[in-house]
Amino acid sequence: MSPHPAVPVPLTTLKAGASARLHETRLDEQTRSLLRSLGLTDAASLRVCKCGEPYIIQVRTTRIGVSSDVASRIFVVSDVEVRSDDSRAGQRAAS
Amino acid sequence: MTAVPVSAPPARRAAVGAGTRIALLGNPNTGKTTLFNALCSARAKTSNFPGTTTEMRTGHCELAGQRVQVIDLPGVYDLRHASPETRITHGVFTGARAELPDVVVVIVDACNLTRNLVLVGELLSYGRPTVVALNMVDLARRRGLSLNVGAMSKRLGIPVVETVARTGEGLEALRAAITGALTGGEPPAHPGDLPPAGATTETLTVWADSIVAESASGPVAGGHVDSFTERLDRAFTHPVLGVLSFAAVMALLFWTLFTLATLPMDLIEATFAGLGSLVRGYVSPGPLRDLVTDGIVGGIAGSVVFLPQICLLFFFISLLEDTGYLARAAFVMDRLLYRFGLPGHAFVPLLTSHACALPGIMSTRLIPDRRDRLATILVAPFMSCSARLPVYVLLTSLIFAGRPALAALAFVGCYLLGATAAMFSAVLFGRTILKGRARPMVLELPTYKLPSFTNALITAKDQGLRFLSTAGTVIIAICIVMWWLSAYPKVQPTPEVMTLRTQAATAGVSPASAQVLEARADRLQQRAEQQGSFSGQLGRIVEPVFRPLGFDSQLTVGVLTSFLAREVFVSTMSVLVGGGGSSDVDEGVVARIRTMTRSDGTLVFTPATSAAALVFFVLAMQCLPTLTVTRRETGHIKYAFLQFGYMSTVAYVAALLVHQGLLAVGVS
Ligand SMILES: Nc1nc2c(ncn2[C@@H]2O[C@H](COP(=O)(O)OP(=O)(O)O)[C@@H](O)[C@H]2O)c(=O)[nH]1
Repeated sequence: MSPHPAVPVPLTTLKAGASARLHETRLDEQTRSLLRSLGLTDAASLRVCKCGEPYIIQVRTTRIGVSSDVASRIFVVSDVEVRSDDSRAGQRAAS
Repeated sequence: MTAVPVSAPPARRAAVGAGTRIALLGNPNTGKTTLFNALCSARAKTSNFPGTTTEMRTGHCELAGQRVQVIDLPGVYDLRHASPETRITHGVFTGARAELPDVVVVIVDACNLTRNLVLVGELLSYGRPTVVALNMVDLARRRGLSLNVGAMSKRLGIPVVETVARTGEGLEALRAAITGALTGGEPPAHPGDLPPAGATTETLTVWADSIVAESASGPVAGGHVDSFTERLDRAFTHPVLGVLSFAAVMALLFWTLFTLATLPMDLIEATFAGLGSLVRGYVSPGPLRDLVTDGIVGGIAGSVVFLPQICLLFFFISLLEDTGYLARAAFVMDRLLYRFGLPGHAFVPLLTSHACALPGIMSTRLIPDRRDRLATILVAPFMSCSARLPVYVLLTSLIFAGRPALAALAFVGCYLLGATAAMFSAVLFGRTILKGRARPMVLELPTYKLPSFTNALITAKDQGLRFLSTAGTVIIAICIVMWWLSAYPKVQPTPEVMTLRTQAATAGVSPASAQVLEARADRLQQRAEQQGSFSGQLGRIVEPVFRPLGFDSQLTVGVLTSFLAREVFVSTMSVLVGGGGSSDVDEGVVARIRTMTRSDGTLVFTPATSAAALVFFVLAMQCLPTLTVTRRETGHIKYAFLQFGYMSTVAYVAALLVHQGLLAVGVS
């Protein structure tokens, strides 16, 4: 199967400077809730500032550092791909 | 946690009075501490929230000529995340914990509007009179943000005041707004579009975004890239550069800490020694004089002497924390510590424990998660603190006499052994009583800022006072009890001592030789007293326990007396061999201790026994003050017992293995 443009990928596959939208997190409840408190809510936009250990992402004006372990459990839809498939992404965000 | 708002707005106070309570609430890193300090000057009190180990600061400020109480609530991102801080805050707003505040001042970081307004939205549903302090407006302006406070205030339905907590700008307007909220007639009408209590963070975020859109313009959405922050972050979290800069910062921190702490510590010791002699001059000899000079004055000195390190450490931590560097450093160390089930934050406590476990354990407050904090507290005393140093010097020079290179190597080995034991114990605790590894690291990386000197001074003062008022008093009591155990019961002078004294008093003896005779009599008397005291008797009773480690009754007494503080070991041994009670390790003392014999005439400090004793001192929990602080910081005495039991067992078993192992290979 060829990769679908809007397939969610782990944050760790993105490069520094890339923008993306949060799809889901596969993390324990505590960590997930802390990320949400920091602004990483469903479908929130984020920008990858730095890869490696730790990953640094920016959500609005907040910079968040996450260990690469956490980053690999954060699934995002890359922005470029969203644009190429706008209607589907729109539905996802709405649902 | 679902928010249960107070449905009916409570009756308004007609005026500002002495019973008025103001609560400060806000996200971490918004300048809450700075604002609290600015409002209350230095008249704050630090304590724990009842029944918790979370710190609470309360202070007083003047409002409309009245003194009102200000409570600094712990920094929280929202009121639903299930952390102890959130539970406490939630409890305060529902009246379940403490009395309801009359006014809540929410500190909002103007540079992080949306996230901060989510908290405001949540708070508004509790129905408390609220005032927003829009802080850091100086930074926001510098970033090109323009703010319309009027529009924001209108949308929120509550007063919004621009402040710069660092400089005090806007403080008067804030006071006026608080007074207004206290004396105003009707509670403010809450905005009609406010999401209902229990709304999701998403809903609140949409609401917050709409307010930001109306009241701010410029780089609010985060599109803007701060290249300065970006570059610093890259450097500080870089695998090589990050570690190097971390090493440099820590080296500077601890070098300064040690250098600066030595002088006040020496001063404190000298002052109390002087105080002791002063009392000795006024009170006639007897039990009362001994109690005052050795027990009480010694006990207070034994507690106050920790102050310089504690205050200085918290001073530097506050500076470092304010700059924003600590959050980055936590990630650097997380790579190393995560493997052992410890969080990256544990590095400050663990490094500090190399100076002294007391400030080390107190600084575990930096660790957000309770499990992680407990694990760090339990293993921190394994780190070789400076009190073990004289013991290491004594024992390594006994084992490797005339071979300084080997002695130095053994010395380094002691430090490594302690650190290794700490790490393995952390793993062990993580698999047993403190299940679960350290929580994966997720941290806000605050913007880099210039630290505030005033904040640091106030933090140092507060932590010093907190130490004195909680652990300090217990430590004084412990010191007095330990002194009593080693000073009583009084022993009558032995015939030998009497003979020496009579000789000294005989006419015809030159003053010089009389002095020598007296000094010898004093030393013998001291030795007899030590052996006859409760601790000496106890040493003989528990000697069989330590026999498999190669310890005799004298060494056992040394081990027991060092439970007050390890460095006492050196002076105890020195007294036992008939030297003075000095705790300095000089050549003469080492030489005398080396020739110390057991009751059967053989040497006490054989290589095997010395090695076992060294390992025992590296690993054993021989510090009652530390246990006091462990109890305070964990909130439960069972952790102090656990720490004591665990470390003593590890030390005993390790020393046993070393002694028996050395004997087995023919070293005795
Ligand atoms: N530029 C600027 N810095 C501030 C302001 N208020 C606080 N700070 C700084 O922000 C840092 C964090 O402040 P602090 O009060 O410790 O924040 P808290 O974590 O919310 O208690 C410190 O370095 C303060 O000096 C402000 O209004 N403007």
